[in-house]
Amino acid sequence: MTELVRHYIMVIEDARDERDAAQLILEIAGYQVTAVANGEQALSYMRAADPPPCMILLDLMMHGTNGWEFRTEQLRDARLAPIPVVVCSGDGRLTEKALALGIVGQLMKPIDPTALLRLVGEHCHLHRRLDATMPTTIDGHEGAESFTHRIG
Amino acid sequence: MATHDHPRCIACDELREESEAASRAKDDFFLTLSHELRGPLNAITGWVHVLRTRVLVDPLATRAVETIERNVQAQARLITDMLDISQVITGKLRLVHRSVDLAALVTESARSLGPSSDGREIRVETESTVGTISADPDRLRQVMDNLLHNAMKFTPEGGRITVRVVGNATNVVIAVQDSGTGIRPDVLPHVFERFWQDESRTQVGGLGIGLAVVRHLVELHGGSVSAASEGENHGATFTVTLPVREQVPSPDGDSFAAAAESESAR
Repeated sequence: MTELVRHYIMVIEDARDERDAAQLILEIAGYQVTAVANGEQALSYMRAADPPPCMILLDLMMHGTNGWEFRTEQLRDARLAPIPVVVCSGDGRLTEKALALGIVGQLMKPIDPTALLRLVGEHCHLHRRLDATMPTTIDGHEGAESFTHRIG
Repeated sequence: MATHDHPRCIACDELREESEAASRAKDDFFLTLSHELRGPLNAITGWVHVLRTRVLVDPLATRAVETIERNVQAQARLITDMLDISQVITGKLRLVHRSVDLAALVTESARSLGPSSDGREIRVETESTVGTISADPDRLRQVMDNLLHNAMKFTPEGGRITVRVVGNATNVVIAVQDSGTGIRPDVLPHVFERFWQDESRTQVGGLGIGLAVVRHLVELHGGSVSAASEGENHGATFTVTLPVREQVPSPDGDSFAAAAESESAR
C-alpha cells in the first residue's frame, strides 16, 4: 500500500451502506478516512486523536448523537471548532439548515461523487496549508488535484 | 361533538388541534419522504461510483452489487408502501387469495432481510402444526417484511429478533419480538396510525406508513395486529393473528377479491 496523506477525513453517517460508499470514494481518491456511525463516536475519536481531521463530512439525521447535536458540541470545543464541516443530507430544506449550522459546504443526497471530491480537495488542501504556515488567505482551489494523489 | 350543550368552544379547540396535528404530520411526512428516498439512492450512487472508478477485487465487487441490490429493494418497498397507503385510503386495495405455506413465507422474509441485518440475529421458530392458510401471499409477505424491517430499525446492532409462528384449527399467530429500544406506554396506542411517528425517535427515520400498511393488510385478511412492549429499552413484540380459512381458493385466485373490496371500502 502506498503512503497516504497525513490528515484524515472524518465521515459521520449512520447508514452503513452510505458510510462505506463515502469512505471508499475518498480512499480510492487517496485520502485517509475515519468513518463512524454517530456524532458521539466522532467526538470521542477526535478528542483522543492528534492531529484533528482536515474535514468533517456530516450527516444530519442519525441515530444517537445527530448532526445538530454534534455540531453544537464541536463548536464548544476550541480545538475541534475550526475543523471545516460539509453537511450531507436528504433533507429537502437543506440550505437554510446548513446556513444555521455555519458550515463550509453542503451536499444533497444522493451525493455526486465528483462534487464531493471537489469540496474535499478544496478544504483539505486549504487546511493542510493552514497547518503548515497559518496563512490568512484562502486560495486552495487549484491545488486540489495534487492533494488527491497518493504520495510515493 | 355537536350533541353537547356547552362545549362548542371545546369542540372548536379540539378540531383545531386535530387539524394542526394533521398538518404537522403531513409536513413531517414529506420531509421524511425526501430523507427516506434519498438515503438508498445515495448508497446506490456511491457504490456505482466505486465500481466505475476501480477494477475491484472480487469480494468488494460482490459487495458493491449486493449493496446496490439491497438499496434498490429498500426503495422499492418504500414506494410500494406509499402506493398501498393511497390504495387503502381510496378503498381500492384487493387481495388475491391462494394457498400459502406460512412457515415458508416467514422464513423467506427473514432470509431476504438477512444481508441488511448488520449483526442482528434473526431467528424463526415455527410450530410444526402450522400448515397452509388461504391468504394473499404477496400481501402477507409485505406484512412480514414490514414487521421485520420495523424490528430491525429499532434494534441496535448485535440485537436479536425472533419470529414465532404458532397455529391451531382456527387461527395462526405470528409474533415478531425484538430486543430493541422498546415502545413507551403512551406511544403504544399510536404505532399503527398512518403518517404517525414517535417524535422522540424521529432520527430513526421512516415515513410512518409501514405499520399502518401492516394493520390494513392484516385486517383485509380478517385478522388483527397488536403491539406490546415492557417499555423503553425492553424490546417490543408485534403479534399478527390470522384466521385459518376452510375455503379452498380458486386456481385463478379471485375468489376473495370481491370480499376484500367490500371490506376495504368500509
